[in-house]
Amino acid sequence: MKPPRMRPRGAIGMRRAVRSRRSLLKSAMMLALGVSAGLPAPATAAAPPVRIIRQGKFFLVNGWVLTAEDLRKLRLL
Amino acid sequence: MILDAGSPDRGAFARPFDICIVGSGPAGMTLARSLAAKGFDVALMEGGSFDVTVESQEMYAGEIVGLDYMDLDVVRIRVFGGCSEHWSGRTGVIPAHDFLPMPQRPLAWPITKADLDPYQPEASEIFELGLAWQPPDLALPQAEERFRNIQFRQSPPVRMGQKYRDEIAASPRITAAINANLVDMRLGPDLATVESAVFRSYDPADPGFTVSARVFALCLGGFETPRMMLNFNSQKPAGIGNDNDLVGRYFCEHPSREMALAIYTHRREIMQDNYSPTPEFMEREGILDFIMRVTWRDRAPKSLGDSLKGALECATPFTERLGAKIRGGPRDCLWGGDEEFRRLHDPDAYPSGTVWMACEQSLIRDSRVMLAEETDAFGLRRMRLDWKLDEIDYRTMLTGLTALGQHFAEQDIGRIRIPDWLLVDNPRLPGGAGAVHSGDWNGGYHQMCTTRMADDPREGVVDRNCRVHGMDNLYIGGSSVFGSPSYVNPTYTIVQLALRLGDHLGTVLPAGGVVGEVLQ
Repeated sequence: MKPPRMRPRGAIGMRRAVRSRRSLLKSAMMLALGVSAGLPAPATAAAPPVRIIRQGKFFLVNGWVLTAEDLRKLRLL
Repeated sequence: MILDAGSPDRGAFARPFDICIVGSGPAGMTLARSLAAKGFDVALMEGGSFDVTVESQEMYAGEIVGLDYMDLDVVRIRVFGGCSEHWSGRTGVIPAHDFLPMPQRPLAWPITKADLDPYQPEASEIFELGLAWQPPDLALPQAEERFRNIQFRQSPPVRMGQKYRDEIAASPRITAAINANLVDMRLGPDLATVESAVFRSYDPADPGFTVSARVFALCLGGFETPRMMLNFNSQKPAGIGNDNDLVGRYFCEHPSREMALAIYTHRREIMQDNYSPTPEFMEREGILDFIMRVTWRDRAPKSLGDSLKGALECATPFTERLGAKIRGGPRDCLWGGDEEFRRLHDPDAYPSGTVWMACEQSLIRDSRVMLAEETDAFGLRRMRLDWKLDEIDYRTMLTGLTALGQHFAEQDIGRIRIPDWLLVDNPRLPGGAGAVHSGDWNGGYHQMCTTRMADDPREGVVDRNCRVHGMDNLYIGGSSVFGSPSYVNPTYTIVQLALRLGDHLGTVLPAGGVVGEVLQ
């Protein structure tokens, strides 16, 4: 006679979910590596110019309302 | 009783009524019930049936010559119960300051919020909102100087045609008809009194029938009420109530759409917040009222492979995401990418969305409903809509979005992108003609102010009691009488106004003496 199951189903389900997530991330990595080789180069060279308009202590950058700190982080200031 | 205007039963209208109400939407239905409860003899006439029919809906077709607008035979519904049969149920109270004149709003209501407040309990009961309510002003931390947090209430939504059909049918005071199309109104010798209204069924051979009453009320909505008044020009060339060339003018909508993009820095319960300007902010900036609501981006359909690809193409830190969006290019993950991938597993991670905005429109004389050359099945000229916005309307949008963007940036809630079409010198709402099915529309299905209320006949079509200037016994119910539009969904106010009109007529009708018999 087999011994009774020691682990509740929920725990097994959780382990399966974790395994599934790891598998998914692994697939994602593999897919990304496979795909990224064929990706075009980053489009920074062809990107539209960044237009900055000062509005008091804020800045309108290509329509986005940003702070000075944002511009520093983005190396736009 | 409710009868079909195409049946012999319509002989029931061959007697005088106290009041003939044309249109059975929220205004007409409420007014009929109010006056019946006071003991008056009511004729309630509806051009549609209990369900949508092609022949009825087709009466609403018309031309659009101004700003793009939704198809005119789609944006309204012509059935028993009127627009309540397709409304969303969103319910709000116009704030007190939106009734008042301001430098940037010289034309305003001749009444105040206090005039409508007594009707909140009954209106709330009609819409099944529970107890009467005042919308609470909830705190918006760090934004109190510019914004108030407005809360709406939700009706189930109440479909008035369905809710009150049995009551109307059983009422000894109301004689109602469906498929009864108003085709003319006949004036007395003084041209200041409506003596009868002429109705026809859809049978092309129908010669029609008249309904006589002491008082008439047009409750046909912001488009049909002026269309009818302009069409009835056999005795008054400019149309009924149009001595000052105001019928159909000052057409207002609530310019509204998803105006801006937003990305958020972190999870936050901001879906509950509705940002509306404080009166002080409106005055300081010289703008009109509005409301903004931030939303989460709906998940775009995308294959798992594309999602994963996008996920790993895109930078995940906020600054990098922001940089990608500003610069554009393949790292822009707005429509998928990491957001899409992560939302599949954690909807609260890396949220993005939009800012939906609805504005009070300025009153523009040349924004108007006119008559087209083409006629409908009854020989009445169809409507031509010329919707216009003014500089202050676009400035209101830009100022509101900029202020919200600054608040979001300052508090590090997220960042907002103002659309390109609003940043040009002469902005114009993007196209949305006939786009009611795509969700990319520019209005709220709210047609207002085309017979606006004003004490001065040179500024409005009806007086503060909704009586047409220059007419002794013609009244108007519905959003066409709004003095100015605010930003609030209009249905609740329409019912408040109808209840108030019912009370007013309850006081003036018995004075004529004829009604006394009916009251027994």
